[in-house]
Amino acid sequence: MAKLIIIEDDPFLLSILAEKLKEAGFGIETAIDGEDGLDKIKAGNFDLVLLDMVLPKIDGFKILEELRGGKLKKIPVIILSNLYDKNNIDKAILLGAKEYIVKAYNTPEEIVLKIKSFLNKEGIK
Amino acid sequence: MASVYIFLILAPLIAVVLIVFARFSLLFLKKIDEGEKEGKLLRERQKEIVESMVEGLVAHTVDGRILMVNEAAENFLNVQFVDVKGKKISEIDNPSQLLRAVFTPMEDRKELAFSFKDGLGQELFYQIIQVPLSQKRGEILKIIRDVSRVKYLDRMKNEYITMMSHKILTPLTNIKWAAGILSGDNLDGPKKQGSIKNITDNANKLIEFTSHLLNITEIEDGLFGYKFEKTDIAELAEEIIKNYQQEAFERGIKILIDDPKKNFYFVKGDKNRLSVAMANYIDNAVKYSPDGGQVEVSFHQDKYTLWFAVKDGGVGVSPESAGSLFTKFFRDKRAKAVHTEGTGAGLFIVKNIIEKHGGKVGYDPIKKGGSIFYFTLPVYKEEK
Repeated sequence: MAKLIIIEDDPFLLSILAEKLKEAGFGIETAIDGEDGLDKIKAGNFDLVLLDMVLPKIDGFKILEELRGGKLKKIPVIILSNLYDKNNIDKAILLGAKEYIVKAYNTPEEIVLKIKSFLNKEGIK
Repeated sequence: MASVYIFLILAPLIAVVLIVFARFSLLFLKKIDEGEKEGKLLRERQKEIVESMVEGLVAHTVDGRILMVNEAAENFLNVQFVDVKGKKISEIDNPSQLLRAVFTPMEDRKELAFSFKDGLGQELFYQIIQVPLSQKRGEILKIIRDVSRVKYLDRMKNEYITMMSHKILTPLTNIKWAAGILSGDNLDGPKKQGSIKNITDNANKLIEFTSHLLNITEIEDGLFGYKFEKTDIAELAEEIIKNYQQEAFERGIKILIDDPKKNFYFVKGDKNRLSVAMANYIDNAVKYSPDGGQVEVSFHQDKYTLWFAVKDGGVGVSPESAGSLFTKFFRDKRAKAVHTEGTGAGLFIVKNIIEKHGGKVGYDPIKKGGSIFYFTLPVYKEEK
């Protein structure tokens, strides 16, 4: 069972995503701000990070930079954000994000399917 | 004798011819002189126009020898014309990046965009336009335009659109996902209530956001109307605070207010607009206070001026942002770190409302942490 962490500052969106991903059989950890998220990534052993970009304390771009520069650079990161302009998407991908999902364009169920498909593609179970 | 007669007859004629010739010659010379003066004046004017242009102009031969540099180009390129006259770029010591760009072969292109960072790390943008000056003489004119300001405004506009989209999309995502839950089966009571509350809260966020945008547009277009009347500021504050008691209670925040009954705090103002301004200060103080914190609302007045202040023990303001707090759409990094969602419009609206009432807005930091936001208003005077 793959272990995922969701870093998302909107409590409602976070709770729905966590619930849907648990139902899909994933082990889920959550963080409501960037600082907590980064601490948990460092402390845990995650197969995938689901990362919002606009976050309190430390934003998603800084988290990507931290991950890229450290021992954790092999953990894949999927961005879940409503920042959907080309500049920000390019910047996140350049910093190592594997995929960029715009929350508003997807239902939670569609996001779960995309995550499953990504993990299958990467051979993570 | 006959020759004397002939002379006597011809002499006046010759004299007349000579006089007429002399006059025409003088007129002709005068015309030439005037033409020369006009030509000189025209050349001077042309030179003045060239020198006063905000665009930089560099004329050079096809093989790159500099023929002319106007004053704007001297500034852009950091050279003096006298030092570079007749020289090629390879013969100039330490040419600036922009000067090298001016002499970059453009081939068939008419324009070249060029940017670089100055010594202070600020990005500067230039447009270089190539115009053939004289094909016969093989001369080229390069027009250099500083487009940094245009680029900056363009970038601001794009950032603004990105910010606006994010602020709209996040509540919409909440509404969309909550509606998805409500349309599902086996919905328990709390989940249903939670989803309905989420839809309501996020719809309200969108309404507030739209209202801020409309207020700003009205302020900028001078359409933000006011109805001035005798208004008790303390009474208004009491009314506003009632709206925040529930949130404050849930988060263990105490809202303290000076005894509003001990004095009258009358101003001549628009009750609705002043309520917006005061609610903004109180809303910020509650929003940015830690759970279990304290918000203090106070009044003070002398013969001429009333002070209204809201103190909180929240994150405070970064020192470098203090001067920008009341600027449109500005959000301090400390505020963003606590609440990612915020329009950055509130304090700008407060400033406009208070200044329209003849008052001033201000901010004082608290050393231990937190802020005091205040405004002043002229006290009410009975009209005689």
